Amino acid sequence: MAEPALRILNLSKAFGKTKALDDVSFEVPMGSIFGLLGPNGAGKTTLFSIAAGFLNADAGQLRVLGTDIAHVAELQGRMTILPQDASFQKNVPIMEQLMFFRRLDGSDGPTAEREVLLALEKVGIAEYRKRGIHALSHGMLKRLGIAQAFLGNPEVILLDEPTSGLDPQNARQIRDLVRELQRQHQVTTVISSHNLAEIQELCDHVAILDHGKLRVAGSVHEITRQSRLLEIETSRPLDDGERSVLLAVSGVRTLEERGPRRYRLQLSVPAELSADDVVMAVVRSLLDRGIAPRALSEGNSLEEYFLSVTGEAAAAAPA
Amino acid sequence: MNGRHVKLIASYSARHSVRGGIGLVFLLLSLTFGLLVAHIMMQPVEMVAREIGNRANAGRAEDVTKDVLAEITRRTKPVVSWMLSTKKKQSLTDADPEADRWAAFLLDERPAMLSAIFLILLFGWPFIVSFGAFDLYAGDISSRQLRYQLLRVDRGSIFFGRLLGLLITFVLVLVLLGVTMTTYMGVKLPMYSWSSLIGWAAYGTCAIAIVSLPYIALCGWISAAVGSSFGSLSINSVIIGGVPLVATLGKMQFEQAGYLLYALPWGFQTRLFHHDPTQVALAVAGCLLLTALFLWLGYRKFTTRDL
Repeated sequence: MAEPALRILNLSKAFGKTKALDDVSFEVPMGSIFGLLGPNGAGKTTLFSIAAGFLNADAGQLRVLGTDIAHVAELQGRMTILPQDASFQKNVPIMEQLMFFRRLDGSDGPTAEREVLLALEKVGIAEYRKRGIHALSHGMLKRLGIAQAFLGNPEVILLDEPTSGLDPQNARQIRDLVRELQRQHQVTTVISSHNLAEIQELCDHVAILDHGKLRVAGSVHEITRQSRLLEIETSRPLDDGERSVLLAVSGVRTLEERGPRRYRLQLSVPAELSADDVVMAVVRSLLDRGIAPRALSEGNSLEEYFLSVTGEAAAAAPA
Repeated sequence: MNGRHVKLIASYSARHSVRGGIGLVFLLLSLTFGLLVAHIMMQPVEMVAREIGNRANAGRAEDVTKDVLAEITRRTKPVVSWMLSTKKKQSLTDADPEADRWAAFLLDERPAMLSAIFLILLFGWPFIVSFGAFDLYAGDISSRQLRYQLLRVDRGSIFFGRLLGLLITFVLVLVLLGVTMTTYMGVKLPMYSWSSLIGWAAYGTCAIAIVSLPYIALCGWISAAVGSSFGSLSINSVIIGGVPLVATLGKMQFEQAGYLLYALPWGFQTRLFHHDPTQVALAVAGCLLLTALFLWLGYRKFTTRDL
């Protein structure tokens, strides 16, 4: 069996009496885009900080690319991170700061300059390269942090809430960059985010943390299999009989009215069927009764699952 | 630890040390303090020499200054001897041949004015060091700036690289101070030869650089342990100022309390200017020993703490 990019085994960390991580174990497959989910205070940033060697775990083990994180120095150049709350130096131009980081990675001056410029162009702030961080907005600072995480040829990138504070356009750009890195270089990327739609769109694997405990970890496909959502808009409202027929379709668990002609179906896909089989059966059933589906879309089933395992109160907490 | 990383971090730290507010404050503070001491020491000589020079029948200005300086030196020698003496002298007239010999070395055999400036600098410099080194790690630990470097270099390289960068800055500031004082003194007090001034100034600059080492290491340890700039500055200042204060007050009750001075170089730092090379070597060894101890404590803390 291939060595996972990250192997987390019985990891625990407490700050005073608060358990930030409580016996957490899961693996991040090599080359995957892995989402780390959880409400505020779930332990995501603590986990990232231990993985990057900022914090020491109280118990357990964390291995990155087969190296115990106690020997984090051996991972130099192989792993990078966008920390959530770190700041850049105030009095040094950003180009110079990033060049310094790249030179620490092993590049010579001219190469570092070229690579940094490229990274800054990728995140769209190259024109500010000679300015200090005071010239950058919150979103630009986030992009600067991402640029430093993308420097070099890392095999693992940890991104702690990379798109928070970014406008939709920039958030999209960052997601595209992550996808491009994964496609071209098989880079393993671990992303924490409150944006569940983003995680579902981007990630192939996820882990959900809640109050320091691991609720679930696995592929997005497997996790959402039991709670897929289907949003349907029909040509006319459904009567009770027609609703009962839809509920009788194998794989349909619940039906909820969302508007005069809009319905949300929660699917629980049986092992012998695929999600598409269930969707086709639903559509067929509607067509058989002379009802035309006007719009059909997949709902954010990860969010549904997240709410079910963490509780709605936690999920409703401000991001 | 990686030599290349240490070098890169040291040069980056030294290059940007003065750009931050704290670096600038340190530069201004050290230059102001050094030049103020030089000015306070030289002004009376200049004033008296000018006064005598204005009188009728006064000799050449250079001779007048020389005579004035010789007289001031003769009168202050017992005071310097009393200050340097380790014996329990009741008054300035009590004899301590060892201290008298030492005072004669500083005031007669070496440029007296420069010796006096260095002795005073030695008392104030530890506090200047505290202002220059308190934020060696603390500020960047609290703002988490170091996190961008932690996956690129090992912690040991960061610890020693920053320390080396600060040392480079300190030495540059000291050299600047030494050159300024020597030039000023060479122009104003022509009875000293340039060679004796430059030689003694270079020695004094080296001595102050050596005495800075344990204080910098102490500040580094506290800065790494506390992780808050203000906390680090407060604790450094209290320790550096508190040790001689507690030792002096304690000595009034218990003679042994005086040994507390040896917890920092306070107890032996003036011996760096001793006429006996063995005493100088012991003082250097003491400084290096304390430096090694504080470095070890700081390194251990920095490499194991949460950052």
